[in-house]
Amino acid sequence: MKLNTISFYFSEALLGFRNAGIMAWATISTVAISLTILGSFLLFYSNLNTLLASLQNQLQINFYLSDTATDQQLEDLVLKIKQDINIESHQFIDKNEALSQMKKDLHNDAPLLNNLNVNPLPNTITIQLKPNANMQNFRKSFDSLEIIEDSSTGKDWVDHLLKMINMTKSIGSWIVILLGLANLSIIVNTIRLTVFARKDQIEIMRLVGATNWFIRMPFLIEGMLQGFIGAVLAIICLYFGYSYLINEITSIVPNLFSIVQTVAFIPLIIKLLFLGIALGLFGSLLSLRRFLV
Amino acid sequence: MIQMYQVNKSYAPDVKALENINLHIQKGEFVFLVGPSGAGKTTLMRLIFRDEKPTSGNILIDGRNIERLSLGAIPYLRRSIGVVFQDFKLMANKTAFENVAFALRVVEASTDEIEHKTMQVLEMMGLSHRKSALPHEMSGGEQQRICIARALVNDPAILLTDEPTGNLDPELSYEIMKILLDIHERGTTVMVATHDASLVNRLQRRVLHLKDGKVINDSMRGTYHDET
Repeated sequence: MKLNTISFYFSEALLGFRNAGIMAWATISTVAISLTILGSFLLFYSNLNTLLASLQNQLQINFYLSDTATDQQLEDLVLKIKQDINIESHQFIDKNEALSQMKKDLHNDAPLLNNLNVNPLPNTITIQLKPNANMQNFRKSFDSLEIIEDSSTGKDWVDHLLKMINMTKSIGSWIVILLGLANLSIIVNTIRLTVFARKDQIEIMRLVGATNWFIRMPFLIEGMLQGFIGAVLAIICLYFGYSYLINEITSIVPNLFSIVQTVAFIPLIIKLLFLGIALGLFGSLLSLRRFLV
Repeated sequence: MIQMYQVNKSYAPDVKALENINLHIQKGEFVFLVGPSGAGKTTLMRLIFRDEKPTSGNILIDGRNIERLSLGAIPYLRRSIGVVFQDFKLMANKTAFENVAFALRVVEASTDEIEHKTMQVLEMMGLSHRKSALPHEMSGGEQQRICIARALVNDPAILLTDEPTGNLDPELSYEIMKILLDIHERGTTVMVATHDASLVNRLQRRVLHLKDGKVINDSMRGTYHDET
């Protein structure tokens, strides 16, 4: 393909874009709205995945120690922990330290604890297990020790939550697929209107012996350009919308921020730009079909 | 150059546009295609440049059966046939130069070739001074000449013109016809569909009479009113 032919395609595409006027912006806004909805779903998924990953990494067990435990019992326990190959790390939390941490967490409600005569919190050892460790077996091997009054893992509710998240994801995937098809159909029809307005030009191109690809190229470039602009608008909307939402949520629930991560936008930007361009391309390709023989 | 054998064209079982057309047009011939509206003149031309396919029969252009052409080969056939329509079919947002040059861009000619050939054909039409004008800024005669220039710029072997003088006054019509005769003198096969009896009678060329989709007369030096 010659360079002047390529430059002709681009100049025709830009001319077409300029002449399409309001119809070009109808396509762009359709793409932008579609991708904003799709992008919101993708952001929601990314957050679910982040949440899922952080929960799955929580192979953590807390041993609450008896107040009557002797130093010897404590030393034996620490030795047993150190020798266990399933343990990634462990941390001893003194009951006084736990109480002061609790006061910090309660912020303005901390004075509620002032009337306590004794510290009700136990000494605790928090253990982080290795990723492939078996939580149940590990727990059993420590059950018989007198020094351990109680233990908690929180694994049961994590399992329930995982089931719910997975179900939401599979339903959501279908919604995204159906939404994508509906969007493509809307975009095809919008682009078809702009192509229809130029059916005479297409006829002239055919008359003078233009190949189908020669006729298609300016329309495809124009479609990709419209898709690209639509995607950029969607990314801008999503970026500012999401940042606003995160700020609002974290100002109400500060600790939630550790779970609902600010998703890295680069992969999302790439996905949406690719989708926008692909929508414009396929929209133009499908719209042109009936005008080419 | 153009051969048709038992060509029929129907748009619906009971709507016959052309019926049993058999004709031979030699290379370098000048042929008038005459007949009332709806006789099938435009359909016959559309079949020649493969804008439509016959319902039955065979059409050979330069020895090639165009019915059997692949979709990819059709544009290459059209590049060897220049077509001029009564309604001009010019691109409204392009200048006279760009409209003519467009036919060369399609064949991926070089920039120098586009410039040279376009100007050459515009000069031949006496329109080089109007190269920057948009179609709506030109008269009917000028638009028709731009249309002829576009059809000629690729040096086609065949030139098909459908009512080329239909929108023009008698003086301009004769000017256009002189241009078509010049083109014919250079060896191009020219077919002119027309209602203009005075031009047909004045020029005394081969006349094909069409009526109700049938060729009712084919005279080598005919007039408009022969057997109509």
